[in-house]
Amino acid sequence: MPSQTMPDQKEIEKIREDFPALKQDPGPVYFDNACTTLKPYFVLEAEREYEERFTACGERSAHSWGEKTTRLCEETRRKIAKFIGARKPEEIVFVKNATEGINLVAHSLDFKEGDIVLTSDKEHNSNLLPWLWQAKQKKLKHGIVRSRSDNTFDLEKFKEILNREKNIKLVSVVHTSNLDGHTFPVKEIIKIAHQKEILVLLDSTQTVPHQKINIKDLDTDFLVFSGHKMLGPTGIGVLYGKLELLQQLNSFILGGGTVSNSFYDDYQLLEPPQKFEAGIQNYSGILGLGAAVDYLGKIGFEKIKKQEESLNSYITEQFKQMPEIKIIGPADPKERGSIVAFNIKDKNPQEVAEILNTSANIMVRAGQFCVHSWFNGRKIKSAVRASFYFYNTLPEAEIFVKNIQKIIKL
Amino acid sequence: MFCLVSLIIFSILGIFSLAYRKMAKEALACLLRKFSFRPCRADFQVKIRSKIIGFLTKRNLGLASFVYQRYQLLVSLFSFLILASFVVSGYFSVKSLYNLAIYDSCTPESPENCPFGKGEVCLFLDEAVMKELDLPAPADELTASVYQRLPTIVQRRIVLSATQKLSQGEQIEFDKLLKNGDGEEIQKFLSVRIPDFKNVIKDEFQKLREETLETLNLEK
Repeated sequence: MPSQTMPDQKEIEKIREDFPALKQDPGPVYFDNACTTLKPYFVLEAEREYEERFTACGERSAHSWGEKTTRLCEETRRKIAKFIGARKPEEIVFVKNATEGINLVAHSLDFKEGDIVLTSDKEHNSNLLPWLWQAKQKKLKHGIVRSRSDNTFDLEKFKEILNREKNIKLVSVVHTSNLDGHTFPVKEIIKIAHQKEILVLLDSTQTVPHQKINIKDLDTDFLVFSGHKMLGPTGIGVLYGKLELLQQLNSFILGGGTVSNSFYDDYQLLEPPQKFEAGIQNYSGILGLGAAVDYLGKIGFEKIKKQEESLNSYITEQFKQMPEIKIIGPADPKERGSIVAFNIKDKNPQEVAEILNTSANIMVRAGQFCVHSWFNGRKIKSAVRASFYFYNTLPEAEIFVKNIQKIIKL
Repeated sequence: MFCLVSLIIFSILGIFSLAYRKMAKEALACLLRKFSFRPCRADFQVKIRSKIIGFLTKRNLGLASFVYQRYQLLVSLFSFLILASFVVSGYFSVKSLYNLAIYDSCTPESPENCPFGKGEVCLFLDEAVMKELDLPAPADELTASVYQRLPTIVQRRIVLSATQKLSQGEQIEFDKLLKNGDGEEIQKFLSVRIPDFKNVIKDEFQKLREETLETLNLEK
């Protein structure tokens, strides 16, 4: 029992009060946080307040509601810039989600034929398909850095590829894998890439909700994340880009709000981030995301990390005693953050997830987690993934383990 | 077989719930794949199996384990039983429909058991028959059950005796009346055609009364 390292459980219980989804009877054991997180009252309230009290168009309408919308959205932009340590709020572009952020870069960066985009072999489809599409259009080539046998990032191989290939334009890698929770050594990756004058894009969707990040310290060129994986609403995400790079990027989607003026034969684009934010924005989503950032700031990443690590350690310890279970990724739970992906010998992962759901109201994910390429490359059909957040508790982890034991006994 | 049985079951449940309609669609897709000699999508079978095992795990782990390990066998057996029950009930349904079309009753041997069709001719109310028979109160359940059948028996006997007294032409006309099943009309018809119809009724009541009393005494 990891009681000594566990955060104050009373405090966690108090935090759980903020989440209406957890107050249901029968209470769920929600272990699918890598897919999406639950929303606290504050986020729901921020969204509702906009929809109920001052629904208006930001950046356009000069009346009081319009101005309030603009002001609050820009405040949120500043808040997010501060949250991730960006230099300027203009470096924050609101997008639909991380997928849209990556697609924006893939379609807007000025690639030349023969340019290479390098990814890892553990990329979510959102950081693989845009590059494959570009490769199919013969605009660029796509290269892969294979992981080590323990599924961690192979820095040596990465260096080797960078020394060998001269046309690498961009390294686009997942910051923390949604497959096994492993966080890549991104600081080193960025440093090595920059030495070769190669741009770096980080898919930090699974990092920003769980770890404190500092863009200034990382020095990444681009970074994306989604709001709904960090207590925020669905349909809102962020693309961070260094201002000078955003200024150079072509526009991806054009329309209202992206130009200062237009004529029958020309138009004048606005500066970033506006030139990327076409059409009426998801204002309630932006304000909800702002509330989520405030809430996470209030909780503190130290506490978040501690709770996730203690849950992962407990489950990993228990799983070690079950020879039927094979965990995907590094053996050390501290290297897997908030994720335990695993397979049970002779049991179908879909079946395991469904039995957990039907018999004990435990919600986990089964399948390939949108990392089909990794599974296909290893001829593994699928896996079960339990992913936690700070509102999950040790008793929940115990229920989970108990039910896994039952499934093994079947 | 699994797909077919699932399709039947979920189609029926789908009448009441949208969720089951979706399952029925999946079962249909599964069945169509079978017909085109492609393997059924594993997802569907896994989903159904997990739901069953999950439900059982919650209640009884031993039973869940038993079912899990013999799932394929149990599914085959259960599917066979369901299909067999469909075949048997299908046979009886067709037979009943045939009887209904031909004999105006799905069970011609005991028309009172068939809710459809015109059923038995009712010349007298049951209470009136029992009053006329003037039998002692039933002493036990067996006697009571015998009494219950007496109104039907006496009416059949009256119709039979009366029919024998009719000419061939009158019998054809009488058959038509019987099909319509109007008791009052039948009584009127027989009273006009058979001058001693009242005696026929009286005789049949008398005979049945005696037979009943005799039978009951013998049994005692």
